[in-house]
Amino acid sequence: MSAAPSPALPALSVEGLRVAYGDVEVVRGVDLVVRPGEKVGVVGESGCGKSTVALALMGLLATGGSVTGGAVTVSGSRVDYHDERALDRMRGSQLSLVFQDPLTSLDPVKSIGSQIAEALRRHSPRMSRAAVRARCAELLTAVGVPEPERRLRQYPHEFSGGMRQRALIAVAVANDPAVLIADEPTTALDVTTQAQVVDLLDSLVDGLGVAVVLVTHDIGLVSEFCDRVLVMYAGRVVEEVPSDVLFGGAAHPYTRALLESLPVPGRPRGEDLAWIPGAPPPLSALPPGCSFAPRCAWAQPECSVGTPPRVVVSEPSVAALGTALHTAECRRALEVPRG
Amino acid sequence: MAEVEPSEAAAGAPLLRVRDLRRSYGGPRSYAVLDGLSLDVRRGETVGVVGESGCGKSTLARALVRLDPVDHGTVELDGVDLASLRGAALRRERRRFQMVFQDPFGSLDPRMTVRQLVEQPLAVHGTPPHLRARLVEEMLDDVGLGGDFADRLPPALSGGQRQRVAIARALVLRPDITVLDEPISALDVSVQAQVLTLLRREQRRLGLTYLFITHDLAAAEHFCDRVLVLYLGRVVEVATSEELFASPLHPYSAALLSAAPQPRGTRQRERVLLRGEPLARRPEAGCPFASRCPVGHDREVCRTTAPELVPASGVAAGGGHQVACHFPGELVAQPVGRTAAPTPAPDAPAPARKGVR
Repeated sequence: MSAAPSPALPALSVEGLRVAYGDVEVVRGVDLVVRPGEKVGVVGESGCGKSTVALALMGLLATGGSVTGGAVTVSGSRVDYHDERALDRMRGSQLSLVFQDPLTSLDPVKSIGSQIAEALRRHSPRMSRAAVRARCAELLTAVGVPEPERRLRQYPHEFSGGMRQRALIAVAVANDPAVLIADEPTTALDVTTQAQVVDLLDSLVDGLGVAVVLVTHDIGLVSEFCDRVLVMYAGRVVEEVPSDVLFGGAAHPYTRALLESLPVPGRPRGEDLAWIPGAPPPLSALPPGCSFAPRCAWAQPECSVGTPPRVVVSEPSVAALGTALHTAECRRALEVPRG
Repeated sequence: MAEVEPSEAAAGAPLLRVRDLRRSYGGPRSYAVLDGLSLDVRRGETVGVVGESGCGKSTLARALVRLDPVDHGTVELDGVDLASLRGAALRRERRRFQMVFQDPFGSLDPRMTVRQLVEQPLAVHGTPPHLRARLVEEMLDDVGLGGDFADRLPPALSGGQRQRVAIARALVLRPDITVLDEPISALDVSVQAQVLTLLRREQRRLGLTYLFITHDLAAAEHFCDRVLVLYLGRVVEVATSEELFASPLHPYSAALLSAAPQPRGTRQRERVLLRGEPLARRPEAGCPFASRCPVGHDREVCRTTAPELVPASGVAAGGGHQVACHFPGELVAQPVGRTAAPTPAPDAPAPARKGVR
């Protein structure tokens, strides 16, 4: 990845991450840089590897899965995925993860308070009981749970879906991590509740300065919430694009096809939506060349040969500070009409 | 089963007429998940039912196709009260109303081939064997699963392909009405578009009528002619898609529509954040939405009197816009302030008071 426009050290830097389950490589060289306080989205359809990236970064891959390549740096220090004790120290205090389903991530037989306290004690074993209790209440308040003293004594089943997700976010930010990875944090929630949780994430970014990596299938959500979006297909990031230009400016044919399949407001009713023919290739038998080529309306014979180049679609301008590089892994990225 | 002219049959009686439908769960302290719900569906129409979890939309679907009994009320299909049918009479009528479920993985027998799966409903409903093969092949071609797909088993199919099998199973009977219960929620976006397009094409071709149950507002707007908004077991608003999405009158509809994530740059209205927590049950008295309502939370009448679903006054007539609210149209999601482009509402009937929060 090229130099960040911001001088600050990236909160998270991933270079060439590779993950394999047995012989099958499911993440095939993913780069990702997240600056402090930044909101980055990772989108893609089922099986593209987006959740695997999240789990791999946390060192939580399921049995059989392993990181086979790449370098991960959190707040300037390199993560060693073979050192379990170092990983334990990192999880929660530097990188935190929020899962989709708060009901299965919370322990049903422990009170909400004791679950937040557990996270605190993990990294600050010497904290006094009173301090832990005070901090728990403070955290619940910060995530927008009213009456924290009473709520701390309650159990997960006494919380609604939205409140559970808030509690889980409280656990995740208890130790002030640099990066919060949220894997489909609102998918199980209703839209009005989702709006509240997204607002909460926004306020945490503003208030705590935590960076957020939002992993989701919902392009509308990432484009609204995130500063930058990474689009994944078959284990690779095929496009990295600033949210402002995602709709109307996407350059990769896959991203464009995804966007065209959405029933967005304002699209004339009765007009048929476009869809992508075929299905994503099985990762165990990828086509040669660009993985998307067999389904791509723009593919040429040479797309099926060799790795497609990463094309810079637009450089960030010096004037617009904070804008990101826009790249696409497609040989025809500059030819595909955008808009 | 009769061949349907896809023309304007709308003038006559509705195809499906539901009146005062009630469905309760639980023993002594039972709670009516659907509380006096009425709706009409005309032939050839697609009616959407939207709402969040717990609003009763899936209960409605199951009650309509008689997977669950109905406590009270009538469900008339072409004048026949389905709610009163039992046994053989119910089985006979069943082919006229079909259902497609959300989960394409749980609704197909993994040991039957695609061809057998699509043939089964015909066999069950007594179509003679010599007629079945042609109907099945035709149907499979229509949903794009002809050729060697027909001999595959469900585990060898993708989610989208399975959902197309489920759709073929429902439509091969040429039902009068098809209840689609979240038919695309389990699918990836690019596949969702394909399934919606397929459903619409079959509707045009066969003159089908759909009841489309969903929590996905964008899909409802795109796919439905009319939409009902459900909140805690009651209809709070009914309108044509165009009207509902352009000018929702119920504060809940307004909040719901504004809450859906929208691609950056396309948002037209600011999000309305609701107060507090969703309730699991309707309160004893008053409007079910009152506790969360930006408009009515502090108004006496909203807390004490449940509003009736009545035709919206002042709205362009003919659309059948109905709303159950004491103060309809009062909550207007603020237009996004970016380029305060003056969009003068042509004939805004209600005093569009702004800034309610």
